[in-house]
Amino acid sequence: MSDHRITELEPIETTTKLDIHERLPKKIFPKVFSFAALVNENKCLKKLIALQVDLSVVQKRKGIAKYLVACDFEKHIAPHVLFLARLDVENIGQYLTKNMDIVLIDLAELENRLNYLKSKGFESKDVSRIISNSRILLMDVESVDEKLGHLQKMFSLSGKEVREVLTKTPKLMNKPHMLQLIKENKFHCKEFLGFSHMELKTILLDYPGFFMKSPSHLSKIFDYLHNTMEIDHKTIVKNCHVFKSRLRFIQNRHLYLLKVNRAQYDPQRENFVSFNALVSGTNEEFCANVAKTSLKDYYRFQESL
Amino acid sequence: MSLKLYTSALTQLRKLLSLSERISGREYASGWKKRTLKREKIKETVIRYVGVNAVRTQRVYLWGCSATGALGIQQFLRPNRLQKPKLKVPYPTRLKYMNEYDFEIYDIACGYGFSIFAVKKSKQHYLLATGINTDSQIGFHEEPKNSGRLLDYVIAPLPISLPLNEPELTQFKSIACGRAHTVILTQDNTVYSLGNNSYGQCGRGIVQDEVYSKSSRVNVLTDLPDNIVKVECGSDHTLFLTKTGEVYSCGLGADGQTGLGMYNNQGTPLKLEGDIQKEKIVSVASKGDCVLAVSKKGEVFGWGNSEYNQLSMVTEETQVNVPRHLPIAKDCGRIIQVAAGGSICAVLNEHGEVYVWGYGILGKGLQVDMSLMPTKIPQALFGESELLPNIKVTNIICGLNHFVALTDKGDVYTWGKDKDGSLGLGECKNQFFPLRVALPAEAKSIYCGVDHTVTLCRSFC
Amino acid sequence: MKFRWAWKAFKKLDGIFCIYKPKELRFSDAQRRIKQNLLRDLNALPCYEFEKSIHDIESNKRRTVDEITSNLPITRDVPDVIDVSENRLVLGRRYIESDIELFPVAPLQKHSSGVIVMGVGRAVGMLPTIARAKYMRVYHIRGRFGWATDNFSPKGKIIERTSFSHITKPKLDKICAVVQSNHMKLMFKYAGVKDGSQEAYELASKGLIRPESKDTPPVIYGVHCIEYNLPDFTLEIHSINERKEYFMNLIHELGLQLKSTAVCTQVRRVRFGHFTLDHALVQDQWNLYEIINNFDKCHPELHPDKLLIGSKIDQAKSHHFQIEDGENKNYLLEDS
Repeated sequence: MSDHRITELEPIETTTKLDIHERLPKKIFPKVFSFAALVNENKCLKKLIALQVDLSVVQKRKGIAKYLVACDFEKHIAPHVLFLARLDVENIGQYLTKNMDIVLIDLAELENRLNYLKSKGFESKDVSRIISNSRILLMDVESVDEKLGHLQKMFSLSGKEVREVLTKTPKLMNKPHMLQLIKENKFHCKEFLGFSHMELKTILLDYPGFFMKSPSHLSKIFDYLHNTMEIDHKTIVKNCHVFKSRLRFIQNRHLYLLKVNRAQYDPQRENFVSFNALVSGTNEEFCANVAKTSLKDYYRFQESL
Repeated sequence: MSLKLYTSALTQLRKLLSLSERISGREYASGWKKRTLKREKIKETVIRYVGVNAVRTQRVYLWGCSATGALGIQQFLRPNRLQKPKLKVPYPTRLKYMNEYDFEIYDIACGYGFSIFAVKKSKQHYLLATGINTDSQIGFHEEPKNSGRLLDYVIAPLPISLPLNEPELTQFKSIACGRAHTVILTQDNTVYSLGNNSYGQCGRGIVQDEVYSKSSRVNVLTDLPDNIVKVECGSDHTLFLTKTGEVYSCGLGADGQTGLGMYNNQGTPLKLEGDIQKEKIVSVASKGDCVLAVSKKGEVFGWGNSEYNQLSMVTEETQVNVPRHLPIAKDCGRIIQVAAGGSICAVLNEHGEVYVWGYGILGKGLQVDMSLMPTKIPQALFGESELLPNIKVTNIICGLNHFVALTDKGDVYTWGKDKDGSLGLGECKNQFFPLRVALPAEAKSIYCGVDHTVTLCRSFC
Repeated sequence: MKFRWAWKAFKKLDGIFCIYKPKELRFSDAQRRIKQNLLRDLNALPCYEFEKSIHDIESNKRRTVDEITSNLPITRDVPDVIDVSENRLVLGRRYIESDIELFPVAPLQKHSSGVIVMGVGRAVGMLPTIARAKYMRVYHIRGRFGWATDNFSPKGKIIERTSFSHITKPKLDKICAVVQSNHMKLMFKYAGVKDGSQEAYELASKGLIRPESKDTPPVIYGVHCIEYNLPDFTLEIHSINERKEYFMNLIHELGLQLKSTAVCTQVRRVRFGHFTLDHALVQDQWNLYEIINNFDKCHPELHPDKLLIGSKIDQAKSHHFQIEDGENKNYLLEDS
């Protein structure tokens, strides 16, 4: 260095000496705890934001954060995004937020998994629906096949019925121990709640989400419907969407209808209240259409419980 | 889970259990099965503690000094082994004796260390007495019979034998006890008196150096009109009230408490004059040496001792020997009841409010220990509040230094000097304002002696 | 009430409000649920600087569409964002649970329901003052005759069943009156004045006395039966420093006094001082807008006159007044 200096009186250039950052190897990033520090400089992250991917969720996933910071968007991520766009996935940003791991999977493998679905006779419209609502693309073909096979065996479904169930509730595949849960629920409903095999099959075809609830939730709601509201199994099977709502809603609304003398669940008679009307809709809608009283009265009634 | 599911499961379980028992033929059961069956049995058996048409039973609660035997509970003075005798009982205790023998009490009188109960048992009337008997004030008791062992102290109720025409069929109209004498008025308008007569309080001539102890003498008072309705005793004098509202008196007259216009002792009852001559007196009260009377119009009259300013609103003398009219009613409203102790006085008006005056603990706090005029005790002290309005005091009586009041809710309030636990508040401490006694029944009437208090109650259920 | 920006709503979130806790819901769960609902509503509003302008544009757009109803294509002008890092997609939700301070005055146990006064934001500092006022609470206690359980609660093990046909309303009323008058005596005990002093008398002659602190045993001021329908009955109880266990015990003792047994089946607080059921928000109303509206409703109840009821200042004032009154009456002789 001293060779470059002409005279000793010449001032020392501070920039050349103290710029440590330039001397460090470029690949190593300073430790950061959030993407927020990098997002202004990193092109890949910027692109992901433009795609409406929620980075605050993505950064919590192990391994993926480091990959995204280091990778090249055009090379590593764009093909996957194009692949998804080709499949008519509804909201790519949302999909990527939930399933960012997809960028780690080879495109050929994805193609393979897609072909499996097509080979099982799903229509392309259903395929895009299933893919955009579940993590099925992240699973092995073998495990998906095993799950569907078990499901078919458990309820003795036909191929068409399996497709129907999966199209209706693709989220069924998201549960990590899906088969175990369904098995447990089936046993619980059969032995403790007294549903028959055929009734359970009807429920599965009508509302597959029934088997994703916890057994305690099912028995709580069933107990109230059957023992307090005195509704038989047949009607419950017909209106199995009731299990979607919370016990508190059913309880409050039923008691209120009892108070205003409108708790009449028999479709043969006058002033029939359907289960759908009972559990769905906001409180305003319920008061206006079903109970036919003001919302204030309903809230006053809740204070007497 | 709901009860239905639960019970159905249990009935199934029981069936299964009984079935398995039959099959195996075993007679004993396992611990789990035993427990389950026992629990089910408990759930099925309904226990009935009281019948549908059960009548509320009468109960007597009493408290105060038990050393005299006036409480009538033997265990206090003759306890079981390893127990100490209790000489004072500062909390309400139940006198079970009456319930054990099916006696129905209809009147009680408390004297200085003794009590008398007028009781009924299927149309038969008795007079039971307990407490000090040194002057034969509760009769002649020889126990065991013909042994010559005469009782000076009776610690459990014993019947008094009176020379009645029809014993056990005569009802007792009114009974009263003084310091050492007892006066009894029966249904056939005869007045009997027992006990000390050294000042003529028994209504007969005074005999010098007469021995009253262990005497079996019962006097019949003959000098009285035959329309007596009530008798009342001060410490050493006796007052008789007739149906027409006249007052007769006899006994000690040193403070003018006989009201006969003199300070001598009087052996035979005489009619009182003075301000009450034209009034119809309905009630008189005296525990010590001061006497208060109330007329039908609600006016108050007083005579006797005035050393503690009991009568100072009309006179400055310390003794008054003629009934005087006291101008209370214009401040306090129409008076229905009076109470006069040793140095304290109280009146109760028709609105159920209590007014007190005199010297001592009056119930107006620590600072007020003397008052010349009647002052009102706030109704809040008798339990009135915005949540419980319209509390009325229905009865007020006093001992020498303490008051006892009864409200229309059946609560008993006491205040004053606590002599040997006579307030019944749990600790022997002076109480400066009315405080409720914790009674486990509804009080119907109250009676009070010098150092003990008796309440006649009905059970809640 | 509508907000353009979350920060404005967050700033407004500062006051005393009143909820109605349903039964079978743990209070901590209720507290967490309110917090989550507040966060949900706050985060739904524009939280970051550029979102505000998008929000404005969207609301303007809607208005133009409604008013003009023209077929012109509407272009969406996203403002030129230079700093990408301040973005919901990067930073996540603007408000998290630790941003909200939420505390109660006298919470209720799981199985009881009723009015609970709560403070949020800086108004939490006001809660000790409300607690010091020692408000009278009114409860509706429901009981059932004929059975007894090992822990006095309806879910316990049944240890006895008894008959109750002999019970009548007058009998129950009588017992209630006794309970009430028994507690009058306790009031003096817990009032914090020396027994037998003049101060005790003056306090007692005023009627209802509040206990000295919130740590004293329960004091019951009024008990009466408001519903009687064998085997069920409902009592209205006014009390201070009560606990649910105490009520369960009380119902049990009441049953024993009536020569039967009883179990407490429901505890419901209908009033907390000046805060009544009318103030309370039911579980469906636990959201940002209803809570902010409720601040205004509860504000009149926080007037100093109402808050100073239970504190010593009030008692001291009337103390002076009474002494002056006593001096005017000449027949009341003072202690020499």
